[in-house]
Amino acid sequence: MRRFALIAIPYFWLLALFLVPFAIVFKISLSDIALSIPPYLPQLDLAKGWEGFTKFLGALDFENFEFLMMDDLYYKAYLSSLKIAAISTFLTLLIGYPIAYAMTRAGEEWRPTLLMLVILPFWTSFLIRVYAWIGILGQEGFLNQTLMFLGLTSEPLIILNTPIAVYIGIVYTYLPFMILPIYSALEKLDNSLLEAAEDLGCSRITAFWLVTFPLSRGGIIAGCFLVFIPTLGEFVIPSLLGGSNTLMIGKVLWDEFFSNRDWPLASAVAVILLLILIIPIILFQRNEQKQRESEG
Amino acid sequence: MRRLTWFNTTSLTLGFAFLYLPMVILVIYSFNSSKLVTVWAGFSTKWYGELMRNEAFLDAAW
Repeated sequence: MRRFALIAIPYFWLLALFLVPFAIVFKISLSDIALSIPPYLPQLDLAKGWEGFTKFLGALDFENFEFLMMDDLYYKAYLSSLKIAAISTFLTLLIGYPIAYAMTRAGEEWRPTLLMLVILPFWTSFLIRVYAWIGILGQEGFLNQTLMFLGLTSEPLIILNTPIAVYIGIVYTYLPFMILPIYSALEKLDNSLLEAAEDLGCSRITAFWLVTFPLSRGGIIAGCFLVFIPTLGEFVIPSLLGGSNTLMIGKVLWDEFFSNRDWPLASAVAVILLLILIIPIILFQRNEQKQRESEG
Repeated sequence: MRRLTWFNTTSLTLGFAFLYLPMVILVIYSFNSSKLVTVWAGFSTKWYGELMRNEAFLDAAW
């Protein structure tokens, strides 16, 4: 009985805060846009009983999804978001791994301070930190002024409102999410394994690739998920730093919802975005489980 | 105790510089007397005075 209660709590949590909202969004995605409050039809009228319910079901259709398939814009926005999310996850890993690794190499007495320094940026608003990059990357911004002062460039580089600025913003914002899980995986690593590898004739670099890197795999995967998933639907960073040149699905969704007030179409965009995220995660987990079974 | 290699030190230095530079710049430019974010017109604390006088800001902070 106690075990049942323990399992029931997280399931109830998921049901109430994930499945029910998703069902509502899915229902809206099957509706039609209308000039009413809320701005879609049909609405379920319980007073009309069974007949009202069948009429309600009959009015739902997949029109919005068909529209998404027909129009190039959405297809391109999904692809471009996937590309941006994949590249920025890779860049974050490339930058984050050496930092996490060096943190575990530092002496015990330094580690809490370093860990604190990674977490500390969260104490200021995310919006303000992204906004600071506008001041740095702009044509007369800090970066261009420095480069021109040093004589490295004669003309200001155009970075703001290009995809490069979006990559910088995403890597900057999500770097702590990559560092923390890798750090915690590397911290648990048994140092005697590395000593054994070196005793057996591995160079330090080979020992790293044969021992440290495979053992930090869990941290890498967790970090990549933590960066990739929020980046895919990212809206704030591309709108502030990317200008109109960067197409991302989060921005498309925002425009459908707030500018066009087309809630049903926006909901359909969100449902497909969720499917894009969930299917690979399920496939990945199944693959992991199969591997674990074959090893055990 | 293990020693940090130059690679470790470099990645820590560059990594934390990347994380903190925007915030440091933001703090420095808050003392700028110019209205523009990017143009430095001299040291001043006038924006802090403005902040104290702006009730909407103070209300939001509470």
